[in-house]
Amino acid sequence: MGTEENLTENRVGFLRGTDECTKLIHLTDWNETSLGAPNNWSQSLRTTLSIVLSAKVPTALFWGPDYIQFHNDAYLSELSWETRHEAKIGQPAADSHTRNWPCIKPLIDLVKADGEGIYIEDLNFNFNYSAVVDETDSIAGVIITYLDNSSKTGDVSNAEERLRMASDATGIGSWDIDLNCNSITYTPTLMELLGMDRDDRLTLEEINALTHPNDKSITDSALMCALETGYYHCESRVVWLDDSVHWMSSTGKVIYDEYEFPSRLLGTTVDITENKIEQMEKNDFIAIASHELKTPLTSIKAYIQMLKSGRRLDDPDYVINLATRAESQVNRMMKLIYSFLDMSRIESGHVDLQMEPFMLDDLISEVVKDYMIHTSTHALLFSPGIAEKIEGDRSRIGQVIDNLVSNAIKYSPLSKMVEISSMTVGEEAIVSIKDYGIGIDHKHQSKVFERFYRADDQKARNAVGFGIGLYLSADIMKRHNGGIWIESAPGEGTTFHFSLPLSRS
Amino acid sequence: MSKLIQVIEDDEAIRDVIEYILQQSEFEVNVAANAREFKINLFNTLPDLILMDVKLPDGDGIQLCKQLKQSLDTRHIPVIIMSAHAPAEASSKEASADDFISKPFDLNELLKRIEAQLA
Repeated sequence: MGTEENLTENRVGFLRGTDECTKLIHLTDWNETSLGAPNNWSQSLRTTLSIVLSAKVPTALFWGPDYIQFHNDAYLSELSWETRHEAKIGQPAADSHTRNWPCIKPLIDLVKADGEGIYIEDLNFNFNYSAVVDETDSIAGVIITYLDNSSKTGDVSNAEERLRMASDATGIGSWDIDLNCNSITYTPTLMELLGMDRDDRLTLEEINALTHPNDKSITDSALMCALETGYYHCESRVVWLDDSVHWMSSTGKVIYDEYEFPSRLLGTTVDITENKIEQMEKNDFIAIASHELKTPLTSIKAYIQMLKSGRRLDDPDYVINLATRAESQVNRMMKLIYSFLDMSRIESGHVDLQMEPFMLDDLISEVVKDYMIHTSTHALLFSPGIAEKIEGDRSRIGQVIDNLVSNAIKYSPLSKMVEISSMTVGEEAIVSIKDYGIGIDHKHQSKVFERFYRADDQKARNAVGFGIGLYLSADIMKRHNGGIWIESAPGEGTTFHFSLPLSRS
Repeated sequence: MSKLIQVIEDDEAIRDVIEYILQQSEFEVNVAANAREFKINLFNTLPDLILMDVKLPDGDGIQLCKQLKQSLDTRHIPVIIMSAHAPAEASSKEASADDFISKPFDLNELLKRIEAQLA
């Protein structure tokens, strides 16, 4: 229906307005609906529509046994998204007005039953329900008029809009739960936070079903707590459809009705997954660090208790022996603590290198000599081969050599030897440290340089306890434009190589 | 006849100190730095008590304890497990260890626990 020629000439008449909703009515395929073509609509429907479409106050109409929806432009522009949802002209309300339909339908049916209008005052709007009688003398439809009840109409909806845009932009999802209907309205950001598309529609039940099964008790008790105290706060996991797990933090406030009963819960949700993971890694790290420090502390405590016992204190060699051992353990603890600090410095980007030219072979010899004094289990053989100087942070490169030699000794308990060699290849100095220990499986090799890496399999599990040494070494090499890599196979020992540019230019 | 204590501990300093203390208390001591050495020692002589660290370069103290307690030859030998890792206490109970001591430990406390198991 609707011949175009009349639209511009004569704007008076049924469906001749230039408003958007009239256009939508023209564009809808009415043959698909129970109302049929507008040509055949009853006079009462036409009359009613003319009132609805021309009104400047948000108005909706639900017509017929299917509650077919109509609304006007003011409905589209003035009602916030939460209030109007996805109402579609021409569709039965049950199909497209799903969110609030469970609340609206009973009221509409009441009006249809006794012909009396209903007036309701709500948070942002007051609703007026009125009955429309048709030619058959029965109530064919119900008009709902939305009256803004805030004092500054324009400002409120703008403010609301701005607030939503701000929340949207910052990844905060807002929601409003009707505690009586158990329905929820929300911003598109909430859908994103739940791993959905922004314009996906979920019921409150469907949203709750996304909570991680182990956290259901947490969300349940948070809700109970909110109903008692008026405030809602909850940190829990949701599982997206792709099975990924995300941590959410939700905060909300209970709104009470005139009888002081909780009627709504309003709140916001943000994704805290990154923070949560960081928090868990930090706790992990603290546990690992404490454990590592307890080993040297064990022998220090023993030495001190032995001195305390008073025995053999007249034997200076004995006392000096104990004191020397204690000091060595203290040094070990200091090295560990410095490596923790280095790690946090790397994380916060505060590592400064003190570069100077020096002979790498001399540094390697120093580290090796030091280990020879304190290690009785292994012999360290060094074959030097670098005649030129390199440029680098001597102390940090020393740390790398120390770490690799220490690992070589630790992870080859059944062998007696560690071989170290150095050479120049092209523009680089290369150092290799070989042990005859348990070896590293291929699948672990690239990962041992990761921050908290622990190899998973049984044999290696208790040996590879703490990965930060290699993580730090890899970082130091990177900062020198050098490299670090592994040659190994299970049962065949491991060779760590690192390279540094020669100080030629 | 003095009792023989078998110590399995991968940290050299701790191993040496425990060996010294136990010898001072008139015990005979065998030390092992890893599971393999321990098994060799065990093969040669059965000790009267085993003092075992949890983390070993080639094995897990908890698993070893389970095996010892399941084998007819060794299940009668008291096993004391030591660890710097507190949760290991629960696992050692599950492995039927006779006692658990956390690191760092008090030397006197360690001796007391050993005496208690040998009584």
